[in-house]
Amino acid sequence: MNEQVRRLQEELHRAHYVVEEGLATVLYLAQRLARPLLLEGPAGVGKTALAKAVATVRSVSLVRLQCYEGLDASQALYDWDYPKQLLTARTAFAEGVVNQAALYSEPFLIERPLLRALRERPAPVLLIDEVDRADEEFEALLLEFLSEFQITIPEMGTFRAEEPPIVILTSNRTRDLSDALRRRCLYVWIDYPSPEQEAAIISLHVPQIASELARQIARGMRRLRKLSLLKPPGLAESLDFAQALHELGAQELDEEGVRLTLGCLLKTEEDLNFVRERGLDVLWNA
Amino acid sequence: MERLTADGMNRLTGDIVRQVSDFAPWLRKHGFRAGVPETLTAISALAELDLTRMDAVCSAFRSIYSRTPAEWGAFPSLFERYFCGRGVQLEQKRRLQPDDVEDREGGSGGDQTERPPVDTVQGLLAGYHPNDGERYALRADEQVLKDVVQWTRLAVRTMDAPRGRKWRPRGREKLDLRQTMRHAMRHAGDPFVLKMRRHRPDKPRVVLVMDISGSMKPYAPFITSLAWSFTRARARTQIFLFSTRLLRVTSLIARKGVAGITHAELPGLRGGTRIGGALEQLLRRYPGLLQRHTCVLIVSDGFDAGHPEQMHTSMRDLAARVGQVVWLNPLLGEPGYEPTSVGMSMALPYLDAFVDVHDVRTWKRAVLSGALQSAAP
Repeated sequence: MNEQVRRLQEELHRAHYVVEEGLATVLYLAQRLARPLLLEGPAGVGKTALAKAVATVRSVSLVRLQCYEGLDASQALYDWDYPKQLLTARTAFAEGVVNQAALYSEPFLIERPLLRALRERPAPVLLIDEVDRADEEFEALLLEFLSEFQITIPEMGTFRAEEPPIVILTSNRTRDLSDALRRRCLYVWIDYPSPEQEAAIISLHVPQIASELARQIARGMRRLRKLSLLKPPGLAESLDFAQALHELGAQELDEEGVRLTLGCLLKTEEDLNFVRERGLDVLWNA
Repeated sequence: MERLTADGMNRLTGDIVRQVSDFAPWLRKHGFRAGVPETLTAISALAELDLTRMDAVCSAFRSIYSRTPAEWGAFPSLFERYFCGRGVQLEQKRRLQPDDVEDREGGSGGDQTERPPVDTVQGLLAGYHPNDGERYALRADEQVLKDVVQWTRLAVRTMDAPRGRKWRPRGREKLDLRQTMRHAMRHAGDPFVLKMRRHRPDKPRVVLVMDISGSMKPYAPFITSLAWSFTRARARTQIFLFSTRLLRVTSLIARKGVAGITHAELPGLRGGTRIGGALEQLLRRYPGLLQRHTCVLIVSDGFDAGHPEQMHTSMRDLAARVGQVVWLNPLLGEPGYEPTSVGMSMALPYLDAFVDVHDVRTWKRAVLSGALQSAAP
């Protein structure tokens, strides 16, 4: 294995993120080639957590842009401080000194996450979370940023990153992202971890838990995800479940422990009823 | 941006560069959208990797060339076939591609092993067994495209549109500081005129679910034109195909609906029809698309080989979740046709409109009749 990839893998492990070699290689390349990384996968498999872990490893800040429908340039790129501009304009007019261009300068500029990520030093990790929730128009807005690492403000000019940030985009595939966006990114599909990986992750995050119980939980999660649930439990749910079982002093999966903590795993009434009817032993009986 | 530097290239022999350059065209024959930028990125990546570790190279190339989960899943075996020479041989696969045959000198088109599309239409009973029926490529009919787009745009204008979260500059709801500020500059900085704004109506949301089982083959050019026209209208449209399973093809239709979509680009769609199962998949996998303002258009003849109960529960859940369910049935206008098949009778109680649409004329009639116009939410 490439020495740097191995080191990155170890550092991520120390930041409590278990990453397999393939993903570590892509992460390493994303940094070296200065390409954004597009992570897709089911909800709760650790896409957002990866960005946090990378920020921790690099000891830089994490700039997060949470996407939603209706997100536009004034919330993602930059905005002007209008009340301040109005007050300044009134004062300037009263004094008879008017410089309109000065009103659109640095003191009146409000940085939003994308601009902040460009200008911050050292370069932060920029997380553009759930980009599929934003509109198609917003994707077009991202294109200049993702390919050139620059933002153009008509009144001030173009800002280019001296040191490109590490950009991680996540998507839950609620809609198809455009080809133009995908083309600019390295792509990774993150699926649910294997039981062995999941047991390792549980042991890492809940170190007090017995290793046998961690393995039992991981196998149980795999069985649950095979059921036709409305909201299959993700990694976050299995960590909550493991933590809850540990707090209750459980040493192994049993009916009583699972009954009390099922709400950590299943988040809809339909799923809860479905699993109860099916029998809670679905978690530990093959 | 690809940062292809001479330093990086020095480590690579001409043979490696040629292999990687040829990889993108080869992948394109397997449905990947790989081009020169991907090749440049891949070569840059090779300069960073240990070339003796093919698994690391595979991981890197996988992230560079894949853009969808389907491509992500298929990539390792393709990589192995191309670079490691295991499994099915490269040359053998190249002969499968009709486009490639024309490019090769003396190419032997007769060696194609892929089952060619059968021209016979199996009639109305094609959906009887899930594995019966046939697959066919989709291609929009260029003759009708212009007319279809015109009527689809009209249809979209009549649809219910949710209130957008974006603001437009005029209105009575909220102060627009940007406009107020601009205006104040004309009045010595005094905001005499407060510019207000209000929400813009969002685009209508349309989910188009199209049956491509064998019995729908005669209507394939028209429904492909119809689907393509929705990608050119002011609507947030998602397009799905189904036979025995569901496949989202929005970008594929938008990109290639006119030029034609081959069988290879529609993986996993086999002959036969399971409408209930497909709708259930839609409900489970894409709940975010099915909202109060969504209009679901189902294009199918209604011959369902799945369990009637599944059809019933799927239609019931779908109708409860979305604003409008419209069934476009190409057989409805045929003399003597009655929607008495089990699938159709299960669906009928939950439909807001049930219309005959099989060509431009019937589509125009459906639009003008207001069948797609929703009741107030």
